[in-house]
Amino acid sequence: MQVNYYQSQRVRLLADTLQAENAKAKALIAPYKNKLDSQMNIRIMVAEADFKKDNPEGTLGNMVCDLLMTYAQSQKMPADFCVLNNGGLRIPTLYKGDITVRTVFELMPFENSLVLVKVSGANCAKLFAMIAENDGVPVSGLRMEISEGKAKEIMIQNQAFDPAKDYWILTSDYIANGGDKADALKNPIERKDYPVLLRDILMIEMKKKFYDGETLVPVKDGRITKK
Amino acid sequence: MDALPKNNRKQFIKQTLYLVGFGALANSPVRVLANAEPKTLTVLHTNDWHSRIEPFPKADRNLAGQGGAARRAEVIDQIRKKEKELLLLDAGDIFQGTPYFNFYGGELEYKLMTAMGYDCVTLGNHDFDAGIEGLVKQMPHAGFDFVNANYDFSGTALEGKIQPYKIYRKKGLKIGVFGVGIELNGLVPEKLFGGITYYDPIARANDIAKELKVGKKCDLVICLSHLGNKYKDAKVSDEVLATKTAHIDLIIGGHTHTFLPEPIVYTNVINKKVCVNQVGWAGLQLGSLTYTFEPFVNTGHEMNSSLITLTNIQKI
Repeated sequence: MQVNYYQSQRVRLLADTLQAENAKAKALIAPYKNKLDSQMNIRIMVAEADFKKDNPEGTLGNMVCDLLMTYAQSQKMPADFCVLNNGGLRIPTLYKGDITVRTVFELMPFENSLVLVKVSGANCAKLFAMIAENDGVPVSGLRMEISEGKAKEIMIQNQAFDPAKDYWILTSDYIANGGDKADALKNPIERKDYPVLLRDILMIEMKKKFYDGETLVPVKDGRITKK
Repeated sequence: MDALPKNNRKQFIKQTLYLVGFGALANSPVRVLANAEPKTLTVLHTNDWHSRIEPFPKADRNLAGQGGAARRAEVIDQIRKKEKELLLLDAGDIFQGTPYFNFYGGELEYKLMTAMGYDCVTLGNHDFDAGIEGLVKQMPHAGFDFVNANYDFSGTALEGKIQPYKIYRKKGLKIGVFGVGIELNGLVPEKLFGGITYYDPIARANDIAKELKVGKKCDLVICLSHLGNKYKDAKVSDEVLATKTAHIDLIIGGHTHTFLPEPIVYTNVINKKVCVNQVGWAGLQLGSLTYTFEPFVNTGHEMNSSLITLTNIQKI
């Protein structure tokens, strides 16, 4: 049988009458929602302003990586810097106001756990090239300038990157397994897997700060710039 | 056409058959004339639900209060009151994105889709986020079919639970629905999908679409795709799928969360039109395509598309 379109048109319906909710569906949702709400609607932090996912550097990625580094330092892990991927941050903006358990779940819904990998300087250079090609990814403890698609002026913990040295990189098991083009991390010199989810670390660190009377302020410090 | 005298009608059929070429000759004009009423079929579709059960939270300044499964259900119910025999389809990534998935593993998503009367869905990469076992565990809650034609599930717990295609009969029409999925390697941790073999979606789509259109004589062939709308590089997408295959009429896409203002119409390898549609994500929109099948000609149909938006805002 043959198909031949001779008309295509589009009608956009934006009627308010479509805003009604289906009673049967609502009833189906209710028991699940009630149980969730009791666990999700708990405030654990306050955002003083919007945190945004952005390239080459975004306040949301900076905040997440900084909190992971804070956690690593508190646990005496030898992390030199932290690298994540933009795809792992699942909301574009964390809005000013209360941060609840639900917010953190929506930001990081994946069951990704914490990993430390010891990587040679040569493989670090490959990783930095990948970061530059991707127009920047969320990092902490690392600074670089992206110039004509290449990584330049690389600093790790305020010291110039030394290609002859090995570095400990803090990341997720997803990235350590080579996810999101992170092939450079696939065969590290050493790897340590920690049985803790990145999402849980964010919640631990937020609660700790909030308990100490701190709130979160967006930071954009030029850690990755683009020329 | 109803105004045409009988002789002219025959003339019209002959001319049309001539114009559309060889393939149409397989249809007997007698058989065509036996069903003289035009038929319309409505196809409703979503993609990338991402566990959006509730409307977006208040803190979200762009989307606060928008979407929500109870609204989706109501819109679909209202349409069903007018259109009894419609097709309701989804292009994958039903799972992942809100705590509903972390806590209930997709159970509520499937129960709601069953209540809404979904006919068929395909699998997105995030539908594997709780592993093959996690997906299989939720399937008893799904009162709809799963299709995929380019993953080989042999030897996994999904073997026999997902068909390459399904044929639906609505209003006396035969509609073939098949699915294609994205390469999982590098996108989904291997431990979650291990054992599934990926095949080239273009080659598989060509085989299945031909079987449905030519072999099974389907009136309409629909592909549920989780490949993504299009990419800057040559990576396989709905655009590639539409232009490099034959016998597909409609591609319902997902993965790239693309809010198409209207369906894109491409020309395929046998110079036929293929329609590609995708309605963003999170159940913020419901796609609606209404096909009109012309019985006298059986060589063409009209297509009307509309976008039902579950938001108050124009730009998302």
